[in-house]
Amino acid sequence: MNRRKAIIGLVGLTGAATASYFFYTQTKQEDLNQLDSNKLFIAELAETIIPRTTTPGAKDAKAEEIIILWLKECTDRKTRNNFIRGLEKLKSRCQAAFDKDFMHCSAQERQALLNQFEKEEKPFAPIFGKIQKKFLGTAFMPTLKEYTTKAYCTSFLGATQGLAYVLIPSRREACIPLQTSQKSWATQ
Amino acid sequence: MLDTLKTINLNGTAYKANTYDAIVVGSGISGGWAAKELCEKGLKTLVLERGRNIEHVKDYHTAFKNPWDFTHRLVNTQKDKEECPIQSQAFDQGNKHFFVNDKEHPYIQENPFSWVRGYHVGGRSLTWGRQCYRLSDLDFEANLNEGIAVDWPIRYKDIAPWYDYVEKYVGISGRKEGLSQLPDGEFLPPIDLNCIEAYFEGSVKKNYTDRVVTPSRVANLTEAKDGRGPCQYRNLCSRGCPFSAYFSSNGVTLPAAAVTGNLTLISNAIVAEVIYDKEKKRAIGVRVIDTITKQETKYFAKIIFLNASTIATASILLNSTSEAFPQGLGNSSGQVGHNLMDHFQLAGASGIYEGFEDKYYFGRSPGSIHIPRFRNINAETKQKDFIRGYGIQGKGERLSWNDLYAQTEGVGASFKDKITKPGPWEVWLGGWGETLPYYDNKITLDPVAKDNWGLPILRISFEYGDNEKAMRKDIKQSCKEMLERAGFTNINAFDYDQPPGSAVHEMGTARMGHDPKTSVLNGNNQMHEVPNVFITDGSCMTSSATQNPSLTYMALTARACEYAVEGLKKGLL
Ligand SMILES: Cc1cc2nc3c(=O)[nH]c(=O)nc-3n(C[C@H](O)[C@H](O)[C@H](O)COP(=O)(O)OP(=O)(O)OC[C@H]3O[C@@H](n4cnc5c(N)ncnc54)[C@H](O)[C@@H]3O)c2cc1C
Ligand code: SF4
Repeated sequence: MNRRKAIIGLVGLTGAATASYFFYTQTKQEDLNQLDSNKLFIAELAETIIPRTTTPGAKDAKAEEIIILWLKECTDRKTRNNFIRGLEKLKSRCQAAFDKDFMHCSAQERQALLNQFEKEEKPFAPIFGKIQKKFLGTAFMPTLKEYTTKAYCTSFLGATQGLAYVLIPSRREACIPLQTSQKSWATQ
Repeated sequence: MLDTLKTINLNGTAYKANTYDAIVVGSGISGGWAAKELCEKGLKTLVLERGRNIEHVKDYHTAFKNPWDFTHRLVNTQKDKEECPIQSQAFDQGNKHFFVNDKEHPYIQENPFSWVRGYHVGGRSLTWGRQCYRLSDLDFEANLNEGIAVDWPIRYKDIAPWYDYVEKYVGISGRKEGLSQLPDGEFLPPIDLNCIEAYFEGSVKKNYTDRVVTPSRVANLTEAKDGRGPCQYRNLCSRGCPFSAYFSSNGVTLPAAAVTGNLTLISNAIVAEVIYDKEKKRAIGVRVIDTITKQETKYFAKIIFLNASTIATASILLNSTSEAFPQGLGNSSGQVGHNLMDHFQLAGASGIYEGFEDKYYFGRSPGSIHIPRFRNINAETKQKDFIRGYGIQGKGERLSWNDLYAQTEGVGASFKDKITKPGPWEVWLGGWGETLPYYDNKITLDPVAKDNWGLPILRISFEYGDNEKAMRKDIKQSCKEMLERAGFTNINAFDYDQPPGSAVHEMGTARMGHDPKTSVLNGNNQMHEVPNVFITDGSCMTSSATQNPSLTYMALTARACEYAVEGLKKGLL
């Protein structure tokens, strides 16, 4: 038995089991109503990522509405399924860790939970990351973070108060001193 | 402007009503120029455009929208991607209406080729990237010197005055560099380089003797001109410019043509074929299908300009079969549809620069930076792995939230703070490489499949050769090296496998040449075999050079119009 075969032999069984599990989970369409019924939950998750500080937060910007719309209409099925399942997983993890509902957790507890999730779901090394994404879709936490950021930064409140935005600049100043507490331009 | 096609039966008076001095097919960049030149020279000119009308300013309904005004915030839907797998790679919610629906306008890819296009008045003059560069004798002589394909029948001196002419009219911002391979033009002041771009320019000057970094030469007005502009630095050009500050047919050439009183523009009018009279040995008109009613009409003129764009023009020629031309109009050479080229892109590198943390910019530049070709310019720059060369386009900016979120760990106030502050400076560089003319890269008409209007669906067959593959490696390497020498870190050298066509510089399908046996057009863009038909869109290109090509189409169009009108006056056509 050469080395390559040995490896296949070892992972053979578990490999087959995971494969059929993934086949089931990836092709099955999760119930989209779960997104609407979790709207308040998604709003709190978004607020945990981008909270209100001296500037508006994700909830002020109603990030959850566009996040749900993107999940329904702009997201491939695998990624969306991962997201819906991620919501449930997060809920049960929360119960297990803090013995209470996410909605009743403190901001610190919520952050701790999401940070933990982010570590676990980190994509593998870049090359595997790409393959992983193609076959399995994007994982829950990267999607949540990406969509929350985009939802906030393209919203009226996010763009004009969280960031800096000018619809018609009218002039170009190519290289100027950075103002104190200058926000990043919302659009390039 | 008539909105839909008038249908008139062809009795005696109608023949007269349907008869013009000139017909121009297509209203994009080159058709707009043909319309302006012919109308200004006093010819009653009919422009036939297959798409709907787009009225300048009035129909730019997304131009003033903020990101949050779009239902999907400029993100394409899954439906967009399924219905428009090709065009959705180029559009977003802000300019989607300027691209065709792939489902409605299918073509067959024998191997992957992205045919990115828009069917409406103005064509791709609304969505183009506005980069404008002159070709030089390095380009015009290359085929002859290397024994590739056929020789260009023109040289730089033939086209130079016409580059002057169109540049003065279009308004192109740029900086003179005195390079033989990229001749200077008639420029408005350049769009200034930002801090990192200026630093990078200085570094390249210090580290290399064979190349320069220059502000890209773009058809954006840095100063007001003829009642247009100036640019407001919004960088939303592909939605149409309410300030008329970049060049489009809709905002510039078509209004100029209309002012003369000589223009008739009919939209929703597909030119199906050119009608040839074998007794007269001339084309006498075109057969047109109304896109909505599917009614057919014929229009007649003394001269015909084909400006439907490279692939569409070749398909019109191939579809115009007659006893005299069983292989398609003016196609005894068998070259029509062949020698399809596109620039190849998306090999390059990006890197981060630590420094200039206290610097920023105001306003969004619609331009970029350009590094003119520096390979195979002379004996010192001769390469052993490939012939010809590439130009580099790039951009420098401070990273913002759309890059930063993926690189920033954690959640909460500190995450928010990091992604809403200007990030580190980044420079991105990518090559636009010359593709050689290969006879086998071609479009043909499918013998069976038909579109909604009963016209043959076209097939595209395209593959890059070894020269292009070797050049890609060099692009990646040279971009990386320039960034390294300039002290950039986190350098990511890339070579994305993009389908050909993605540069949207398709050309070559009815090439110019000296010999009617091996080419379709002569040195005046006139068909060798049908002297009153002129083709001045990208299909005329004998080689692709590395430069964005539309400026050359404009100059060749203006030049051919003068030649055609002179010929008409002398009774030669
Ligand atoms: C995103 C993007 C960026 C680009 N950037 C640049 C750049 O920076 N620099 C550059 O030089 N070029 C650029 N280009 C390419 C440039 O747009 C084209 O080279 C140019 O528009 C070609 O001009 P044309 O007149 O040949 O065709 P088009 O502008 O495409 O116009 C052709 C017209 O003909 C019409 N038509 C087609 N078939 C028929 C028919 N059978 N009957 C009647 N009408 C017909 C079409 O509807 C269309 O309106 C870019 C293109 C895109 C999409
Ligand atoms: S950036 Fe300038 S040219 Fe482009 S749309 Fe805005 S104002 Fe017009």
